[in-house]
Amino acid sequence: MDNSSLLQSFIIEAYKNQKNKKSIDVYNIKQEGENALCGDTITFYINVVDDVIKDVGYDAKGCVISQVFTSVLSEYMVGKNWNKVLDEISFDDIYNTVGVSLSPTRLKCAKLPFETIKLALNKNMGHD
Amino acid sequence: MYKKDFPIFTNTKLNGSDLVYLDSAATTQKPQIVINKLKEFYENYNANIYRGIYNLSEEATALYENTRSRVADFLNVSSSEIIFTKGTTDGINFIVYTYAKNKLKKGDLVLLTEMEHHSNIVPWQILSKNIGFNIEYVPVSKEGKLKDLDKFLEFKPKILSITHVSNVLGCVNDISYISRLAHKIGCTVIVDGAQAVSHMKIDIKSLGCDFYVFSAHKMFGPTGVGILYGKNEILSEIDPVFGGGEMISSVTKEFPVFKSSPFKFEPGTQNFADVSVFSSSIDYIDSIGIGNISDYIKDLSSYAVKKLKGIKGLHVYGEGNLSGIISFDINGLHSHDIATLLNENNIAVRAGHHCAQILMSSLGVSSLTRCSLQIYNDRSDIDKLVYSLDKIVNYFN
Ligand SMILES: Cc1ncc(COP(=O)(O)O)c(C=O)c1O
Repeated sequence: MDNSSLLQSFIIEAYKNQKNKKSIDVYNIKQEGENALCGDTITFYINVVDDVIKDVGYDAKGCVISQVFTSVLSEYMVGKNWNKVLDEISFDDIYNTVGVSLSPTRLKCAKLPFETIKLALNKNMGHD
Repeated sequence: MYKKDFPIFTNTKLNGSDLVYLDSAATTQKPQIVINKLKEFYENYNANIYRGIYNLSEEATALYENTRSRVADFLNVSSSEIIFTKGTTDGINFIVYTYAKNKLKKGDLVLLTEMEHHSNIVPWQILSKNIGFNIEYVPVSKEGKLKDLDKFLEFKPKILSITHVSNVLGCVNDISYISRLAHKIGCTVIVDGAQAVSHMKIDIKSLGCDFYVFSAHKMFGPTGVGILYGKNEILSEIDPVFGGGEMISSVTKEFPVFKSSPFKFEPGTQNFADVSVFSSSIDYIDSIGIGNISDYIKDLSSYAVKKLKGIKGLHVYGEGNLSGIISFDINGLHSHDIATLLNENNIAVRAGHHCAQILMSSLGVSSLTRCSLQIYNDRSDIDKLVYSLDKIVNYFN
């Protein structure tokens, strides 16, 4: 397998060890996202204190791609400023980190966590 | 054995791997004789049909009409009962607007089944919103058997529209029996033959249905060509919905006089090149023999089912149906991941809901992986599929 394969060790490891795939008791942001084509669904639970992301948990059903991208994004988010969380990291950064090469249909799966966070940010404009 | 007839298998490689094409239910590959025929048509016969009083146009017309009579013979019906469309979907929509729209009133019932492709659901739903008729869906068992069809017929549906072969479960509906039951109560029977024609002998006289539609591209033919069979008694009674050139015998400032069927239903310039070429797909099928194709696909299906069931956590839906369509899921794996991983080895399968979301929810799944077989597949294709699936399952466990 070359490193563009879905079976490369990074993906398999990330899939099997999703640190934040858990429920958290204290959160003030909850956001669901869905990719109708695949039936992928994600629900993020985020605890933000003084603009800083203290904890992230999520529940995800669906393909490996959407789950791995959710996992990587969630780990990155912890400790960041919530309002600026997507200014500091782009989808391309994570795409490069994961290192898989995806067809246009599968890119939608990978972007699902980003789209979900964007939805939450738009709703939570002005969050204190 | 037949793979060599299909140039795509020599022309396409991915990372050095040969193409293992297991998505023929979506569209079949084309044999060299069909490809050659398309080139030959444009190089030697291209002229608009019916209108030219010159040799080239007469020749093109003859080729177009030759396909019509080949198709009619293939189905055991008469040429006037064969209308060219763009495909199965177009054929069903044609029936819905040209026939059903005038027949149905508010409160009437149209009977479909849970295993229909979206193309045999959505057109009915759209029309029903305008007219206010009801739609009921005959339930389907996990293996693909219809449940309680006779009970639903007691509600006296005006129309039953049903697939011949399911594109997910591969089950074959007994159309002769169903037509007899339905006709007893005066119910019109429309059959979606998209997944049947390439590998089953279709004798419409013995099926007894009123309409039968399918797509050329799923039987080794060109895209953009569909066949609609309609009983002469019905076609001669109904008026066309789409008007234009070449479908009338005379036009005045009042109302036109239509030609007879099928011409009144084919207004304007038709897809005459692809239709003309389609006869060579029937030639190809005839050269092998439709009975031999059936046997071959049955045999290969049973080999595939046996092998697939050896994979840990894999479940086949409708395993006893053996008509070249095998849908499965694997515990804990999403069908899109399976398809993406198989693609890395140049294995093409279909993943998702297969345009059959009603069936998916009745089976209690959100998506399945489907491998569909054709005459150009062989046991080595299945072995490669099974080898790759085994590896995938191991990686994730
Ligand atoms: C059972 C069935 N009906 C209808 C269709 C639609 O055929 P087309 O897309 O050629 O119109 C398909 C194709 O996938 C099918 O499998």
